[in-house]
Amino acid sequence: MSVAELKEKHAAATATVNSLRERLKQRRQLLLDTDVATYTKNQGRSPVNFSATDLVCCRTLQGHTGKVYALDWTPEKNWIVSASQDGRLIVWNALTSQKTHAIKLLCPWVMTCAFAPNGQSVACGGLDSACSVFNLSSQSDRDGNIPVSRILTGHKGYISCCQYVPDQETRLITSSGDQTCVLWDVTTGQRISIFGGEFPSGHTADVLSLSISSTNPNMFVSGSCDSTVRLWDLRIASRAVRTYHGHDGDVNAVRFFPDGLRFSSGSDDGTCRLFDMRTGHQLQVYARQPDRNDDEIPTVTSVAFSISGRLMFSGYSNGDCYVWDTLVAEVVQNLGTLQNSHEGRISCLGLSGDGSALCTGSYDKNLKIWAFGGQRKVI
Amino acid sequence: MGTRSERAADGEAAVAEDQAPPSEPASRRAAGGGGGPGVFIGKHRLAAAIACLDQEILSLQKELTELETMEPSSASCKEWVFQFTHCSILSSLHVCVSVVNAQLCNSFKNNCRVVASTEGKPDPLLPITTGPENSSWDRWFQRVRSSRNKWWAHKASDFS
Repeated sequence: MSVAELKEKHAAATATVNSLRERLKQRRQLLLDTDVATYTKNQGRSPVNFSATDLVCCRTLQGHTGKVYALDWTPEKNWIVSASQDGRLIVWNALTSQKTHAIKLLCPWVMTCAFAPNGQSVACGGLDSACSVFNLSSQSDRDGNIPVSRILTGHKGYISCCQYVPDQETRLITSSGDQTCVLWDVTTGQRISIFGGEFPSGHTADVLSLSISSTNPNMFVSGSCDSTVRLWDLRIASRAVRTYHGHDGDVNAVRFFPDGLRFSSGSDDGTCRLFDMRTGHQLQVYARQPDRNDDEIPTVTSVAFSISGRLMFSGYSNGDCYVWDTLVAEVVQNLGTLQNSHEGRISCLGLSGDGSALCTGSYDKNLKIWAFGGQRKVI
Repeated sequence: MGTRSERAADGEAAVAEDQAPPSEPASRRAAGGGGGPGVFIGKHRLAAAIACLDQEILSLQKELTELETMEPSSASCKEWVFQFTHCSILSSLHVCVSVVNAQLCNSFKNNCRVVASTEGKPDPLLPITTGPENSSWDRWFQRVRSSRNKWWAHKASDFS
């Protein structure tokens, strides 16, 4: 076949793909006959009711000299690792506010960090396009720095997010500006699988975030500048299981719901959206009320669920940190307006392993711990 | 531009000012089709691109077929809300899972099994939650000893 004929065939196939995508979009729209909030309100359900002093800032972790970009908790202990524009990882005992480790990075342009499930290692990545792993038990050098124990190289773009596979210290997933996600064997430094890239159904722009299901760790979702979220099976790297459309901007954050069957995404379009993993349905849009003070719509930078999933926390570029009642899609608290709140953009947030505390990280260089300090009723 | 890609761009600009930049490709947005006009694409790459598109067509057709028999979003909403309400009542009655499995239909079983990990779960951040309560939930408000200093904070309820 000549090049001209191949080009013609390519154009025809592209047109078919675009036509099918449009039909899919229209068919999905027809299937969206309600959302969760409408359904629950018809049942007369009321939102979670917080008093003004229920959720309180009980710690401020100070020590970074630059914007905080990422944080992660250990699954069982009270430790947090944070990554900052100051080119350092800090490991905190969140309960005592003490810093247990301050790791100066070879490449200061770090964008993400993660704790290993056993709490003995941390990983980070950024503009160096590599994921560095540090063993916290390693002996520091004369300057007090921990040597890197493994560098995972292979991505052709910045590392936007990294997460260890639950209960597996030797496997880690990264997302990248090179439009792919990679599953790594941390012990050997080898890439086990590449998700996207040259294979069809991969993201068509930078991948910014990922979340691994805690109930089925073979499944993870990724969010991208192509405005979609894609579901992947670790055992089948050749193509995405499903693509979720809906957002009108970069998807900066994704997080699985505690049951592992739904997930939330946060975007530059200012909304969070809840999707049903199995059907692909968009179950709910969590959209801010328009604010006259906003010159432009604040973007969603981060999302997390409380341990039951009834609450969804979302961080915004203007410093707001909304607490959504997930079922009725109402904002029940804004941590950004409480006493001792952050003074800048919320860049990251995450729940402790037992769900008793939320940690937020900000461009104001601090991390804050939030917990329930009111009268709790146990039924 | 996305927040993380904004950071990447800011970092790249700062690196260019300060020091030799780490090598990384510039991030690019979805262009919906690959190279622009005038870009030479060889025969083999064209054939590979067509093969990818054919795979994509098959996948999209499969999804379209799936949608023809898929229930609307109301069914998914109903299932999820059901898990937050009815099954939490069951978990508080301490119904034996084996009894549930033996007597109930599959979709109800699946809903209950899933809810064991969601609303049935005690949530320390909720003002009203199922039990049992764990005393460690309030450790954030207890006196903490450290090698350097002592710290504590009051719960709001301590002042009521």
